[in-house]
Amino acid sequence: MIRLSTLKMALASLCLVMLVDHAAASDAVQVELQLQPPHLDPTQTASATTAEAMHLNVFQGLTRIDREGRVQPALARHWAVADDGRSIRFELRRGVLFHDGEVFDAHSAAFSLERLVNETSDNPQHHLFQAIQAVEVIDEDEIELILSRADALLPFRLGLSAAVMVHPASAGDNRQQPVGTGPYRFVGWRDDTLHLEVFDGYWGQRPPISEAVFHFTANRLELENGLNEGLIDIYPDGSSLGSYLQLAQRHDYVIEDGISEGEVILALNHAHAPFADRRVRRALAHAIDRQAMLDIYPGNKPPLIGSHFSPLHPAYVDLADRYPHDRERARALLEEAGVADSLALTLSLPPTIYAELGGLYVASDLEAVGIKVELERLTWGEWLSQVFTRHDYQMTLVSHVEPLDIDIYARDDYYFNYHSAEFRALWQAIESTADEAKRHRLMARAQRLLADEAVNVFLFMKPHQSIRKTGLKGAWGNSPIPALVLEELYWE
Amino acid sequence: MGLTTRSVALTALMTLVTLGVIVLALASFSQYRSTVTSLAEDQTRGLLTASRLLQQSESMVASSAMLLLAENHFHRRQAMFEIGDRREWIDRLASELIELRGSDAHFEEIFQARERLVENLAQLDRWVQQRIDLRADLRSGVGSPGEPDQADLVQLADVEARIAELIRANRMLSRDLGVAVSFHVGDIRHDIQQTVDVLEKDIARRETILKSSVVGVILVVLATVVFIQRSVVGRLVTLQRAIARERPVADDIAVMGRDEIARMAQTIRHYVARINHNEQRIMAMNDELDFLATHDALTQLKNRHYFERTLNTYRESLEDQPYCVAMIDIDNFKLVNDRHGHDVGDEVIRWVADLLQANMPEGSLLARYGGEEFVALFPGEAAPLAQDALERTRERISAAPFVIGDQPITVSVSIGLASRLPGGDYALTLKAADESLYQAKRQGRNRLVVRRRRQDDEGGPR
Repeated sequence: MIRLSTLKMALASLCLVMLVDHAAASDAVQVELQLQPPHLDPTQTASATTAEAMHLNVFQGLTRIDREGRVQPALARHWAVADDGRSIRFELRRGVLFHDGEVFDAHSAAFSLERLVNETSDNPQHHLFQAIQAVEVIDEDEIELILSRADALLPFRLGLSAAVMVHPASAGDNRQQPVGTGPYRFVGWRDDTLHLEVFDGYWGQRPPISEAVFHFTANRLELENGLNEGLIDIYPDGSSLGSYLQLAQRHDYVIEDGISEGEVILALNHAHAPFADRRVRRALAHAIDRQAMLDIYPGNKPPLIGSHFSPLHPAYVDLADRYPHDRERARALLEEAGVADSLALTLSLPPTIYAELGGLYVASDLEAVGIKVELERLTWGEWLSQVFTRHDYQMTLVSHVEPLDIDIYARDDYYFNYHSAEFRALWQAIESTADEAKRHRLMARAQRLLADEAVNVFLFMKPHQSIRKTGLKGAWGNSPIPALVLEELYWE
Repeated sequence: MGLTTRSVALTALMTLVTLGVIVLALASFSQYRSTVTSLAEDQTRGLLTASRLLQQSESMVASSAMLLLAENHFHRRQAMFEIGDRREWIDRLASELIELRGSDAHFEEIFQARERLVENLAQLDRWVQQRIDLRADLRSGVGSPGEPDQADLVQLADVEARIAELIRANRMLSRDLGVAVSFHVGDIRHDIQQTVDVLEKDIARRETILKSSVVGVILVVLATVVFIQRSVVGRLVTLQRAIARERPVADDIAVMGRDEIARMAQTIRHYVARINHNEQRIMAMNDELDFLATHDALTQLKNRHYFERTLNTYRESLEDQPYCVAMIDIDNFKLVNDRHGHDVGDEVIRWVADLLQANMPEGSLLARYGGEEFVALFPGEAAPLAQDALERTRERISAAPFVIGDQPITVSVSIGLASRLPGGDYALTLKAADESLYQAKRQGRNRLVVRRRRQDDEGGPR
């Protein structure tokens, strides 16, 4: 009799194991991000797709930006700014472990920040942290940042993906084997899929989603097919899908309108001779029918912009009509510049849907004013390497998703090759101005300067329309920073 | 083989059979899992991939149509983007299929067909581009304003003819691609069907094995129950019944075999035998103690205690029947003791007692009453014989002197005899016999004096 009970128990256990197995798989989530990240270390790339997958999931910073764009404590429990604004003291959270078991403390925090501000750092955002002069370890749980000047934006910037905390022992391998303190740990990265699973030693509350698979499907047809077949649970950038209207009708999917901080621009390489002439740049701005281009978003009419600035920011100046669509004016400007009928340009396109569709409009519009256009389709890796890193391009169409990143026009090494002493001085003034109203006035000047100079053709704000399965809740409506926060997702 | 050994052997057998069934079930689960995984992950994925490949190949026709119908470069480029995307996806799907199914010549056909098709579409793109430009020229009147340029018209007709030719070729090439891909769809479907058939057969086979194994387990369990019943429970019940009797007998306790229960039965049997033996000894000792309690150690006659208890026991019956009581005393016994010592005195008492006992009529009771004094009760039919028997005995005692060593000792006894007094009170009768004994002593000893009935005997105090 006893043996029979044992048999029953064994069979019951087996069934239980199978049930548990099934349960484990049922709270997983399949995420589509389209662009394959060049690697997985958000402190070493400007590619937003790395941040989207890794930030707040695998890596965390001292602070974090919440879904409303507000700064919240993360690995720092709280912080205090000195009266003169020249130092900030951070009290660190205790009991935080990296995924490899190493302890997060003041030393690893100091290491991360020193690595961030180091002049030789590969961190593409390290200029944002230039105010940090020194990092001092007070004790195991406390550090102090000594600043060269007051920087009111620093707590916000420390919540960006570029400023996540890493450990000296693993930092060197984070590109391929990321080790952070977040609720999810890296499992594997094969071809076009990235696998994360919940980290048992996480200091915070255990998240409801136990595992996530990120897909990077560059091919538009394949991506849409994946959505049509229901293989994808969430895709944060659904607005420019060809099958948008059909998907919007489906009861198993929900499309949510939101806003992002992404300015879509036709970026011009100022090192390419014709673009040294402001008349050519302005001709391009007049030639492009931005309103018509919005047809690439079947369910959304995002705001047009006239400079590199988000309408959500209080310092925003509406310059959208600075260069109205006017082919005659464009031709005249080209004529003036002496390039009418002789200008041939290559537009290098990253594989995003909005860029490819937008590229068709740009090409037609430019051809309509006599510019010969060749479209060059690049993979995301090619774009990052050829356009962004080597600056080997003439025009490209891309979205800049980092919030408040107008400072990129003050950078000599940026891929625009735009060098303006006036703008640099203006940006320095912005950075050193503590008074908010005054700073906003300076920001308005900066916007006008970029618009007047027609540095790039500023198109529109990229809409944030995430498409997700009806039962999947907790996704961010807006996208104040590029991040797909798994911790807040749950199945209903 | 001991009970423990047999139990261990049986348990081990049961465990083995049970584990065997579990292992078999687990192995079956494992195999099904791997087959189902293979079905789901490889074959179904293969089928899905092949179906997508077929779908994309067929969609190439739609993309070609889109290209053909492009009236401007926007739509032409859009069509070419789509064609590029399809080509890229077809390549990846084909690679995935090769990875899943292993390379063979048929994949080469896909790549060749795809390459020819894409080449055809690239050519088509060039001609469509020319057509768009020519039509734009004709619309805008480039060349001679007002009149369509004849050269352009001729060229347009030539372009249209080439496009028509390319479209015909395109249709053939699309069909080639579709056929090459369809082969794999069919092949994978066939593989899946085969896997399902094999799985079905295997499930049926393992089901039979599993059922047989379960029957095996049940049989082993039944055998265990029977074994426990026969080897343990049954024997224990028999043993318990044998022990539970009022007087267990060792021979009733069966000892079968040489196992633990047999050894226990043997032990119990031994104990029962010992208990029985001890009980018999205790009973013998009781008998002896009983004898010692009721008899006089010197003469082996009943003692005074027994005599009085007997009278008490029969008090009621004595009241209803005739009886007589005699008190007998050895004459001058103190002189015998003084002259010859107590040992001789004891010998004299024993000799007198023997003679008295030898001559008592049947049904009478003789007891040593104390020292050299004896008492005798003659109830019922013995009463009339009492006087003769006593007289005869007295005469024998006095006639044959007791000899110790070479020295004769003259021994005589005096006897007082009293019949039941009216009312039957024993104590009074005994007292009366005692009084007669005194009379015999006073009258010179060595005589028997019978109590004569007196007037005051009637209704006297009891």
